[in-house]
Amino acid sequence: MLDLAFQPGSFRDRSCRVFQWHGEVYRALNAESAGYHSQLLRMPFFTEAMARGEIIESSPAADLIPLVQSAGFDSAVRHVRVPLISWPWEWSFSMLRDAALLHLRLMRQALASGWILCDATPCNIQFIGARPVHIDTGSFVPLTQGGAWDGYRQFCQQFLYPLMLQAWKGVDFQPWLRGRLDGILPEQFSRLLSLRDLFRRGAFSHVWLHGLLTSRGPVQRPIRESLATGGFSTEMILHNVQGLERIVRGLKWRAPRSAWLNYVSSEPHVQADQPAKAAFVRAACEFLQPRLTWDLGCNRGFYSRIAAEYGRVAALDADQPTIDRLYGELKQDSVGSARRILPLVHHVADPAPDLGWRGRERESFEKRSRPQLILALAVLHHLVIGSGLRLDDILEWLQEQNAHVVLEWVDREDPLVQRLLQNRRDVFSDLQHDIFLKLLSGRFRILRSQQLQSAGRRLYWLEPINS
Amino acid sequence: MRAVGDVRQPDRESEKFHFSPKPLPVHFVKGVCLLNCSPVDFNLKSMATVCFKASAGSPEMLNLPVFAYLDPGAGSLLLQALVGGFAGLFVVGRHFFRMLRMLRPSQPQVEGSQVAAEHA
Repeated sequence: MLDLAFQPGSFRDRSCRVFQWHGEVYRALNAESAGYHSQLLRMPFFTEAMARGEIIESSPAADLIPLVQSAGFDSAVRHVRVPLISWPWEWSFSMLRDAALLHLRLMRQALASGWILCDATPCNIQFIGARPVHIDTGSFVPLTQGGAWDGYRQFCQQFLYPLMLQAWKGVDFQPWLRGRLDGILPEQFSRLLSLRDLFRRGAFSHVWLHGLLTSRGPVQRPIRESLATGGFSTEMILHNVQGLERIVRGLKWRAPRSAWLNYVSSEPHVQADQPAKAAFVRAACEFLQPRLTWDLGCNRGFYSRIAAEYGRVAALDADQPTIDRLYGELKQDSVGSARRILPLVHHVADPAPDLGWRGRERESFEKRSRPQLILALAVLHHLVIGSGLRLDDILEWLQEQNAHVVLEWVDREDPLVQRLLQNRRDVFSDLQHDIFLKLLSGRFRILRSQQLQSAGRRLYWLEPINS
Repeated sequence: MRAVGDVRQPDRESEKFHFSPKPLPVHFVKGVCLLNCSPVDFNLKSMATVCFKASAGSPEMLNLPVFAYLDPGAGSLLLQALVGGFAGLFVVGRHFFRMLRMLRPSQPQVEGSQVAAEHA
């Protein structure tokens, strides 16, 4: 049996597995799953959703059948490649909410045609730019008479409760989803509800009662069959899905006031430097034509939009309100290049690590993306002072990415650096311009540098020496 | 001394129930009441017993195809009927009724036949 390079996270579903072959993404299917897929391609709900871009484009890959047969499967389909895979713990509230609504919408449309999504993990939904797309076509299965929605609990744990946690409690859901891949358990989330919360839509049934009914442990009980013979019907699933749609739509997160939301407009010298920085970034992009750019500390995505004219951009910021607002703006943006920007909640000093089974199921951010250009505009001093990282470590990490870097150096005399230092003991002796230049040598070649209008701010275009 | 094949008199506990009865949390019972919204002729005690029985398991087994690789959770399945609209309440009611019927004591053994068997 040939050992195809299956995706490390694609192992739970025995009927199909995803693998890569010569840079393309394929799904190997067993006979049953292949039958479903060929039926799906004739179902209007599926083909229309695919045409709208809500389901990943798939086409039969007859040329790969001998290959997958040697690996124990019967058929294969080719999927359009998602430019950059992201996980729910890197999304903002609105992203998870839109993913949940897409899942429920597809469920509703599938149910009307006698099909159902058998699972409900947000990892099956990926963002292409600011547009959510369902990528797991193997999740669509025919609905059986009297069958229930097996993914209901998973939907609650990985979509509904994280959204409720953020909307009702103002607690970031990302660390919870990152901490347990199964999501938030009903019996645990129900303990967080206050009396006031119990009167919120969906709290009593989907949380409190759910917690009570599942608190007895994961014992397999034949309730499924009893419900089926008792008259459980598709209409009941549909009723549940419609109710969940109303609940999810009603969940609103009032983002806390963040210093970063009006960072540029509130700092005149930052605003004054913007045109020169934009020209510098554009020149680098023009020369490099990067397929993927990381914009570290992207804020409103001003420079991401410039880089997006040349390729895909991962717009990264640790501040969730900022990313949530950027996502909202990108959704409304009709400019084609804006659709190439994927905004993600990402802390450089605490990035999404390898998670799950053997640490391979959900890969770290760095393993999923290989940038050709990294924008690190005025973030270095935050990493040194705010996160306590050593300057030489940061530069070594940047060098390891094997990408060109556009970096903005900010001297410690800058008022914003002084603000960061005002309540800290200044132990950051390495944050000196001459030390910075010394550390660059041997790691990077300076292709270009430019003094900005603000004193103590300087731009560098760096090429890694190992490239 | 009982001979092989003797029909043993079942002990009183297993004659009545197929499970060990445990008290159900009061808030759970209240929750079920609220969901059903019909306090009239609602027998709280029997409902509580049936709810527990339902969550403890039923001996009925049908061979329905299961596509999902994940455990849907027994409690989550039951809840789907509860939140599945008005008709879902009937499904749950039917499920509980079936459970209730199972709670009835089984037919007592005829005393004479057992005595005869012992003397055989």
